[in-house]
Amino acid sequence: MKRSQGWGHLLWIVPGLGLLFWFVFPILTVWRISLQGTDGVQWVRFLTSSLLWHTLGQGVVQATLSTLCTLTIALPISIIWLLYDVTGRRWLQILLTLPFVLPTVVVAAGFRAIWGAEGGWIRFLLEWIGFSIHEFPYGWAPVILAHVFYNVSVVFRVVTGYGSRIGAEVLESACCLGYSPFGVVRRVLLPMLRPAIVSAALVVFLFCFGSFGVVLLLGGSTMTTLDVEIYRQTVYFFHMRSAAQLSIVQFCCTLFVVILHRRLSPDASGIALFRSSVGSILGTPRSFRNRALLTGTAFAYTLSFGLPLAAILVQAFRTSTGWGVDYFSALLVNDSDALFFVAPVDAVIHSLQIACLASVFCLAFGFPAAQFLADPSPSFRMTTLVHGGFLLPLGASPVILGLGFILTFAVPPIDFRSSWLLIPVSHTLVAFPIFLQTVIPALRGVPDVLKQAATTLGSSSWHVWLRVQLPLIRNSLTAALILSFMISLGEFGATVFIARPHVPTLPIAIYRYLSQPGEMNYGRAMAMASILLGLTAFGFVVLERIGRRR
Amino acid sequence: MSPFLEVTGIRKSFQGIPTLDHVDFFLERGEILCILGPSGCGKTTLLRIIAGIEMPDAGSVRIEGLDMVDVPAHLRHVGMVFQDFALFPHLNVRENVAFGLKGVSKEVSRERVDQMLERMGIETLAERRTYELSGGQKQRVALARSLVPQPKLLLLDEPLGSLDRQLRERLVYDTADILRKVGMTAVYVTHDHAEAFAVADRVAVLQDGRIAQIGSPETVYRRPTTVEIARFFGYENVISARILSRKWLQTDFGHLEIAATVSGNPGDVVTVLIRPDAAVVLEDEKAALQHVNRISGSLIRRRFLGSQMYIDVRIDSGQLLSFYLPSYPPVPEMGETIHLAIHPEAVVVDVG
Repeated sequence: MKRSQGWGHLLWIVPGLGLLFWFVFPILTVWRISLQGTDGVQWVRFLTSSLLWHTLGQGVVQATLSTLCTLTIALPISIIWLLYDVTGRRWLQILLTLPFVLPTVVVAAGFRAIWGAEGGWIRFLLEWIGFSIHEFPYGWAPVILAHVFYNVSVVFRVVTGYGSRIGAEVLESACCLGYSPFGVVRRVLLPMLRPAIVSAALVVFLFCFGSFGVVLLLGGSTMTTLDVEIYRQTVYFFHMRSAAQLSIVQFCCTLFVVILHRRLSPDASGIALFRSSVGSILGTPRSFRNRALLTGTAFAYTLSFGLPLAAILVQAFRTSTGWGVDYFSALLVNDSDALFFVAPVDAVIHSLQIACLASVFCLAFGFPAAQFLADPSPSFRMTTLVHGGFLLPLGASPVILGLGFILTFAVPPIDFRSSWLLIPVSHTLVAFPIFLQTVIPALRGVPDVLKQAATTLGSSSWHVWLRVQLPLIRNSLTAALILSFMISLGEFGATVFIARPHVPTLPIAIYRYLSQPGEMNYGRAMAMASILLGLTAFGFVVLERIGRRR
Repeated sequence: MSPFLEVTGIRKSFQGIPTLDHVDFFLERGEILCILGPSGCGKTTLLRIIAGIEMPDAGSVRIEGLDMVDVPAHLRHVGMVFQDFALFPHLNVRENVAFGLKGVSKEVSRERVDQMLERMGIETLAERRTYELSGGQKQRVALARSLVPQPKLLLLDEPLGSLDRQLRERLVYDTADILRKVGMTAVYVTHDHAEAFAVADRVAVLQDGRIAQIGSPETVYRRPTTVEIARFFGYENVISARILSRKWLQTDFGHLEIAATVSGNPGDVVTVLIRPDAAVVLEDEKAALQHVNRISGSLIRRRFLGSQMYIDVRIDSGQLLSFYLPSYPPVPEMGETIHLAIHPEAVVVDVG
């Protein structure tokens, strides 16, 4: 029997209250205000409206297509990576995982840099070869492409993370039983990876279904998702009621997928998003032909995933007069016709400050919550409930969260409108679930027997925590902090509502520059995207370092 | 006619460190060879090379006269039982056992699997998931799985290594019986010499990446050819002696008669092993006169092992020798003088 843990079971109260005040309260406020006086008839009208069904239908079709494409592209490379040591294995991993932490705005910018009307060096290339593409086709193709680019990292991470537990012997024994490498993959590896694949597919579906930035920037006017529609209804049409109704639908959809996820792959929920990179199962491919084939494949992936990122860099440095840093130096200038009232470089500093604050908040609120959820609790039901509650922000559209902040905290008696607090808090909410999911597996991974050993050596429970538990999870904790930092750096959906015009964050500044015509604006957008890319890549490399040290 | 399995000149290094260094041996059809060696001596690597999972740096593996070097693992018809059994967690017992059966009808497959499960005594477990099995049950499933496709050759990599001792002692005979019953040609790898002696027709001792000795279990056990092999079997009584004649040696504590004949010339100094299992306690010095190879000394340590007693004796000449004695008749107490007679058969010369 486990001794009662004193105050341990109360750890969730402070983060819980924080969540109630900063998340549940604003969302309920949006719903309350927007749905005032909405009667049954109006609900029926909404539920039968073409707006809802068109948006839902397009969302489902788009998300399904995106998910299928993502799986088709991600699974082969994940399996190759799991099985074999190919040249450039580490680079491949970094490049395939980087998009996961890249801000949507940067991804969208990257794709526009490849194809877009403004930059379009693929276009130049194609025209040079003899094809001619006249206009950048906004719509399905670029959106799905961007979603694939974004989400391959999710599949790759989840599948390789799960697959690294598979021992070589299981696959080798299938070989000895007469199965060719393809047979082994089909009959053993894929069935064993099933929980991870299902889990990853659902997560990807969820991301694509609730996609905001990508669809807004690349989808053109005909494409929509619930999140985008909520944004349009609010900002363009001031249809607050429709926005609120849509957000309720969106919430239910997310909830449904999350429950489905728990049902379909219960044991995949413990997969840590960031764990140490592992060696391949089978080592170096044996024959020269296979080695060449696999290396070639890996190289092709590296190339295609590096392309949108390289495009950003190319566009940032290629000015009308040749190569140069004109766009970067332009960031330092506070033009009279600038979109902002300050020099754009301030957005960088502002973003960094916010990200620091958001990570500190994540630590302050997330760590006690994680500690509570990781400890075996007397009531399993209670833990599940609290855990579910803490993951709620994952299910809410950042757009509706931003809206909620405006409606709740910008009116007396709680007027935070000009407070520096709002943006970091909203980022904290978005990063919170990811923070939890990174720290909890690490906390649970500390063997009980180590804590018991420390206790028998005369350590108090506080001492055990400080000297045994904390050192063992230090790396995961750092990783979670960096992850929160990067999420904050790239957050777009909520910030677009909350950010005041004269203090934009990096993604907001990029978005504004991208929506303005003119070569200079486009160049500056690319320059800022390069900075954001550089910051995220740096954070990511640090993260990988930590991962390897673990 | 060439032997069934012929391994010649196998070399393999990992990161520049040689693991296998010119390994040669052969195996006849239906024979069970045990490769015995301490952990890290390269036994598993050798098996993996025979299976085709690993490529040798040099050397060849021939099965029925055919060179296997370019044949991938899945086409070699060589079965393998892994140390941790490597059962497929997504399949139940029956599906695991049936896994290697390809190109046969459902009925035939079912029949053969049922037959094998019955032979192993695990027919009641057919629908179980692998995580519901005990260690011993897993071992049987793994063995059944590798036997069902009727491989030409079966490789077993410490198949009992992860089981506790009692279970191991029971299963080692069962495994050997099953292999003999189906007439399987097998290479069995273990670090436990008791296990090797129980299973093998022949034992090959692998040391430092080479086969140091190969022969019947009794030969290898009784007449280890190197000091290292002797130490591996737990023999500690290694002394040097001078050859007197073909049957007699001169040691620090007197003359020793030997059963075999010495190959060296009189006057040569040789290393001699006195096996610890061939000493008899003599009641007093007078009784000792009737025996050859008498030694006396004070008993400085005795360890009770159940049916046996393991003792250390400080001989009058100052040397320390250790012996296994039966627990009965009673062994003298610590510090007392003990008189022993060593059987000439237990004195092994020609230890390299």
